[in-house]
Amino acid sequence: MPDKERFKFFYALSISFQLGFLIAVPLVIFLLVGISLDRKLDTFPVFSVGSVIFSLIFVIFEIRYYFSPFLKK
Amino acid sequence: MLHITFYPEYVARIGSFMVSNTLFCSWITSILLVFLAFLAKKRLKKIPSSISLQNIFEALFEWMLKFINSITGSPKLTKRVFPLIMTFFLFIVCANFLGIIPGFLGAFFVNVNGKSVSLFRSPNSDWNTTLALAIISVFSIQWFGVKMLGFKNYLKRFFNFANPVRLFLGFFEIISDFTKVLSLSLRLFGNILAGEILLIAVAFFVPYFIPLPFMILELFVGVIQAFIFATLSLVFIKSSETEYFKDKKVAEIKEK
Repeated sequence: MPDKERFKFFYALSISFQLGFLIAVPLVIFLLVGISLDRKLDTFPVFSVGSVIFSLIFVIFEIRYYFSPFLKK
Repeated sequence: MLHITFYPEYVARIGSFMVSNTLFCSWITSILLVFLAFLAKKRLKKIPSSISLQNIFEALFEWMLKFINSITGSPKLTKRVFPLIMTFFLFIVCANFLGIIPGFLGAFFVNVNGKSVSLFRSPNSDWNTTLALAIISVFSIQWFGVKMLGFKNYLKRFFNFANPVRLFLGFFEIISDFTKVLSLSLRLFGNILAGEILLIAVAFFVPYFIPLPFMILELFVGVIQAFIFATLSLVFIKSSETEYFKDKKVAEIKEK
């Protein structure tokens, strides 16, 4: 494998290894923020549901950002 | 009785500091590596004999140096990151191999508070060890990034107020660094713990011959996991520089 291709290969591999966490971590963070906001403001389930929807949109853009160098080809 | 625990167990106490069996084995691994390095350095020759320790180390180091250089594409960066990446690789390999030595797992017990506790356990089967390694790895990514770009420029990777899109991308980078710690540590921990449980369970049910293929498999897993950890750390260090050079301003700095 040529040297330039080797870095790209391992870079793609590193993203694929992280993929599960890249999806799960924002979901968990936003959900925790949503639940705590709901508890504070007594608005359940507005922020909880809103945070899940927002995190899903966030994850879509995040995955697109990380995979865009490969998608262009 | 089959003795498998998810958490490391405490085997000794130094003052108020509790020593777990995995920490004890980490110390053994470190001492072993220092001893091997000392042995290899003691009898240095210009032309070593074919099966000497010096020759084995030279071959390993040369191969790894070439590999790192092929990924970084810069001898300067290779020289900087080589000690860290090689230390990760050697420590993880040695720690993983310790657990495969016959009689190492579940053979020696100490009595702690009336409870029989295994004296030895593979260091990487404890999340504390792998988490520490992953945190070192992610901090070194930041360190090398700051060294290459300067503190102000590197900070723009996370907090860039040039436009709203860049500000949003900075948040991706923060999440990404957090997931690096989780993915690096949990992958190594999960693989080694699963292998250890497999070896103990197989050795408990069929003590002779049958565990042998599993031990060979674990040797392979040990090397692969160490290689993956070291390579991913290297790729993250390189990508922290490469990704950011998409920004024109920093590209100009690099040209200067």
